[in-house]
Formats: sequence, structure tokens, C-alpha cells
Amino acid sequence: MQSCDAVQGAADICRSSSDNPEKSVLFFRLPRVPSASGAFDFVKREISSLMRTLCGPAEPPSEDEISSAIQEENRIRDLVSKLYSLQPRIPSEIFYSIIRNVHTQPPEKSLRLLGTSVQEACLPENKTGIILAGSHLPPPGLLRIIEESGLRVYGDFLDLGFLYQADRIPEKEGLTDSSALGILNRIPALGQYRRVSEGYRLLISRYRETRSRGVIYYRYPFCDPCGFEFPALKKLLDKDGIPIIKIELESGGEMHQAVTRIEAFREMIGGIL
Amino acid sequence: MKRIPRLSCLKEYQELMKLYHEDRTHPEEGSLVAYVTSGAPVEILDAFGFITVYPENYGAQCGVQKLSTGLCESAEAEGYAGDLCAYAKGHLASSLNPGTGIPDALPEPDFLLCCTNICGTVLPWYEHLAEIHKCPLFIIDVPFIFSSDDVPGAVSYVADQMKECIGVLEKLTGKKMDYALLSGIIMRSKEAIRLWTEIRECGKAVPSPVHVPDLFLTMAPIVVMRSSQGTIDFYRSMLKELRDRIAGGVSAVGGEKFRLLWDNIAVWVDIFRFYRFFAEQGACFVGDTYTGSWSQELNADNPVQGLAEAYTTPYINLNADIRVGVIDSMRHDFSAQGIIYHANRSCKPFSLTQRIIRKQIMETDFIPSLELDTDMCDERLYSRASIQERCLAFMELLSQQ
Repeated sequence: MQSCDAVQGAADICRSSSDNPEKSVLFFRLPRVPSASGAFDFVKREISSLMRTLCGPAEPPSEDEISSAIQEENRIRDLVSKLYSLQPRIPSEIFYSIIRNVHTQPPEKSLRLLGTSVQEACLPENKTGIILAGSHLPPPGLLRIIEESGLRVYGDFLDLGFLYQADRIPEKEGLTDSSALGILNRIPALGQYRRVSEGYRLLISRYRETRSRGVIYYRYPFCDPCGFEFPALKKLLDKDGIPIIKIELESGGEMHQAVTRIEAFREMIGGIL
Repeated sequence: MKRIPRLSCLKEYQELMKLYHEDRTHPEEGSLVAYVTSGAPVEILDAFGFITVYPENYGAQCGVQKLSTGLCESAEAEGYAGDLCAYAKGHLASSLNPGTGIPDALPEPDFLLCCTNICGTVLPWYEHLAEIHKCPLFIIDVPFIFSSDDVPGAVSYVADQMKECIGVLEKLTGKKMDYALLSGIIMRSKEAIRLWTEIRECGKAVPSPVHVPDLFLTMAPIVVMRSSQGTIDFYRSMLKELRDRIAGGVSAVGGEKFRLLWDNIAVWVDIFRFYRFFAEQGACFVGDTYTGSWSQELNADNPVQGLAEAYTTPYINLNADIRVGVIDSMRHDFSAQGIIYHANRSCKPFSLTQRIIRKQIMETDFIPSLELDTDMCDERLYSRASIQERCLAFMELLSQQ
């Protein structure tokens, strides 16, 4: 999925260095402006092209099969949504390992895992809540530091986290139309045009709903969309008096700086260890 | 110090650019100003009479004037990440802190036109500019071309957006698009592009009458005023002078020993000393990939479709295999003996795939090459001494071949 120059370049390198360039990497180009003229037709063409490449000479899936896949995906999103309502009761590392699994496991496994997780989440809310924002999904090391500092992620503003489950895919439009609408109607991802102030209203309402005390914004090295997003976000949150701290993750997974900064942040927002 | 022949047309160039800057510094009462990305279909704005300003050009100028590092530091103090494009950081810092950077270079914009055919960076950059200046932004989203099969769909998508952009501009200006005028503008752009292409191709002559830094210095008109008659007149003069040099066997570096290709944006931050160093060694950059980004064919007969076709496929929006083909042809056409790849920290779309391109070119038919890890504008990432040392070693290798 094309989301930024780095992903685009990395995908191009994989394709170009492969023995079978046409099959090794399948690109799905995401419109950078979901509301642009022609974006709907463009996404439909991308879906059709992806289907052709995936199916090869085999028969493509029927309308019914696609329709039931969409319904299954929506069931997953509903369960993820339910899980998010329980987020303050689940240690952050476990919570995001479930979310990561949802993105990488086959749908039926995801559904089983989510069903069990929703039933088992029963820890009391005894930590200071924060909202997590930044690139895609956080590394487990960062979540461990957050928990060890006496904080817990009560909500997030992440493409593959809360934003992923926030919209259901339309089920009545026919297969390519449904998928295209699902892609275009979702809250724009990092790397897409997401109108700074409008997008952050959602973050602020999530902050209030979960009664969080601050926002931790983390960024992987060389993530351009996050590198641009932070100052605008900080300006907006400062206006509302919401504390925010940026954690620049280091190459190679070192987290020493993050420990000190998160502990200082916890003290600032009045968290108890 | 070795005498390097200077192009006499540079005087005409300076006059042309002086007029350009005066127009921008003191725009006429009632004229509308648009900020625009370097790869955008500016002909559409020209047809509506906009004064166009190029933030990337401003970034390069800041680099040449050694203002970029301070501006980048200022942007980083605002919260922008250190590893972002120096053009973007420099320009945003100047926009956030009026009075910093180059004086009077940035009139207040009425409209922003952002075209993503050069990188994804321009998207958040312009999004922030729209917030800072509180003015309308139109984004033309150009999908990356991973394979030649992608082109028709991408062109159709881009054409749809260009039509929408024309509608937005009609509302903003209260004028209907005059398609005959647009065709005339495209014709002039087309002529400027033809001349620019011929100028670049003069580098094929042995010795080369042109050293690529001459192109870096004179590329501004093709980027910022390609549909103007002044640009056409200047490039005619430049082409004539280069052809005279070819006829007289004049080398651009005053005695050509090595013929090199340059990949990526210029090292603006040390443009004069950096490239003069090569000229003094007798090394001439006879061709490059960067200045070729403004060599697309335009079609005036079907303006919107023609613009969509041209602006969907600039070099930097093409996959690594196509770029390998371009560089491989250039090395033969320009009789190059070596290639220098500028691994430019600021420009990810240009730099990320360089290593694989370099590997493929070396495997196909070996040619010595060197990768210079530095930056186009940020002095903190540029070390003249160590870079010159590496280049000297490279030229020693070339002289042994």
C-alpha cells in the first residue's frame, strides 16, 4: 500500500531486486486525496488490477464470496471496536499484540482471538491513561516502558489502531464499489491529505472520552508524515491545554531516551507509579 | 587557479531572473499570487494570470545563500523532524517567521497548487502552508508509476483532477478558462522544453561545451517561467553559445579529462566550490538526471489530456527499472566514464532507490561510480574535506582505467 515515499521506495527496491518483478510485490496505490475527482474510479481500477494479479488464470471470487468476506471484515471491526471500549483494562503490550495479530492472521483466527480477548479483559483501571499517536502500530518496547512508568494507553490515533476500526465497509454496493467506498470513506491515513484540524478533533474527543491525561506521540526514524504532523498537532493540543510529548524512536530499537522522557512526562501529568 | 570558461549568456540570464524576482517582490495591484510545486502543471495557473512562486526554488536559493541550516534549525525548534526535506523545513520556517530567510522573496499567496508527482513531502508541506496562510489549497494527486501498465489509469485520474482544478480557479478568479490561451501557453512551454532538451544534449559532444553546474544555474527559467517568451529567448542564446563552443572545440572545464554523469539534485549548499573542484581536475559533468525532470513532451492540441500525460511521468515518479534505463542510455549517449550518485538526505524519492539502480547499472556493463552521502542544502550534513577526498580517490581510479 502506497502511504509515503519511504514505503514506495522500499517496495520499488523489493520489486526491482526480485527474480520475478511482476509477481513479487503487489502495489496498491492509495489516493492521497480521498475526495479528489476520479479517486473512486482510480481505486476501483486498483482493486480490479489487484484481483487480476492475485487470481492469475484462476477463476476470480464470486460476488457472494466477496460479500461474505466484507461481512466477516466488518464483524472483525465490530469486535475490535468492542475491544477498544475495554482498552483501559488491558495492559498496553497485550492490547497491541492482539491488534497486531488481527492485522496479520486469517479472518477466522482474528475473530476467535478477539472473541476470547473481549471476554477476558477484566483488569481494573488503576493507571494514568494516555492517548498514543504516531506511526502505524507501536513497538512492544515502547508499550512496556509506558506501562512500567505507571501509564497505560487508554486510546490511540493510529492508522492500524483505532482509526482502522472506526468505519465499517458498506455491504450493499457490489464488490468493487464496496471496497472502494470502504477505502475512500475511512479516516485518511498518514501520508494522505487529512486536514490537520479536522482529523485531530477525533483525537481530542477520544482523549476526553477516555479521561486520559496526556498524549504520547512516537515516530519511527525517517517517517515523513509523522515528522510533519507533530508540530501542527502540538499547536492544536496546546490550545486545549492537553499535554503532549514526542518520542523519536531510535534506529536499531534502542529505547534509553524514551524511558527518561516518558518518566518525566508521567510526573508532569501527575501520574502515580 | 585553472581558468574555467564562463558562459557569456549568463548575463542575459541574470537580467531575466532579475525581472522575474521584481514581478514577485512588487506584484501589480490586484494580481493573484499562487505558490506552486516544481512539477505542477503551471500552464493552468498562467492561463488565469497568476503570479507563481516556487517554494522549492526558494529552498534552493536558501541553500546557495547558506541560509538553509539556520532555517532548518528554526523549523526543528518548531517541532518538525530533523530528517525531513531541507527545502520544506527552510520554507516553512520562513513562512512561520516572516522576516527570516531571503528578504521579500515570498509574497503572500492567494492560492496553493500542490502536485504530488515529485514526492509525498509536498502534501504535508502545502497542507501546513494552507494553515499558515489561510488560503485555498488544491492538490493534484499523481500516482507513482510502478509499471508502464499503470500509466493510462493514472493519466485519466490526473486529467479528472486537472479539470476540477480549472473549475476551482474559475470560481476563485471569476474568469472562465480560455482554452485557446491555454494552448498558446502550452506551445510556448513546449518550445522552452525543446530548447532545454537540446541544451542538455549538447553535453554529448566531446569535449562537452557544458558542465552540469551550468545547467543547475540556468534551470530556473524552465522550472519557474517555462511559458514565458523571455525564457525561450534566453535558451535560444544559450543553445547558440553552446553550439559555437562545440564548433570551436571549447571544453566547459577548460581541458576535459574525465566525463561524468551526475544523479540527483545539486549540492546547492556549496554549488560553486563543489563543482569547480571537479572542473579543476578536468572532470566535466556532461549529463545529469535532475535537470531532465523538465523535459516532458507537451501536447497543445488537447491541453488537459496533454498536460495530464506530461505531468504523470516525470523521471522522479517512475520506477527504478525505468530509471536504470534512463541512466544506462545516458552513459552511452554522453560517453560517460563514471557516475556520481548524490545520496541526498533531503530527497527520499530520488535517493532511496539509488543503490539498486547503481548495482544494476554496474552489473549490466561495469562503469565506475561513487556514492556521496550528503545533503542539497543542510550544511550539517555536508563535509567538504571528506567529500573532496573521496572524489579525488575516485578520479585517481578513473585515470588508471
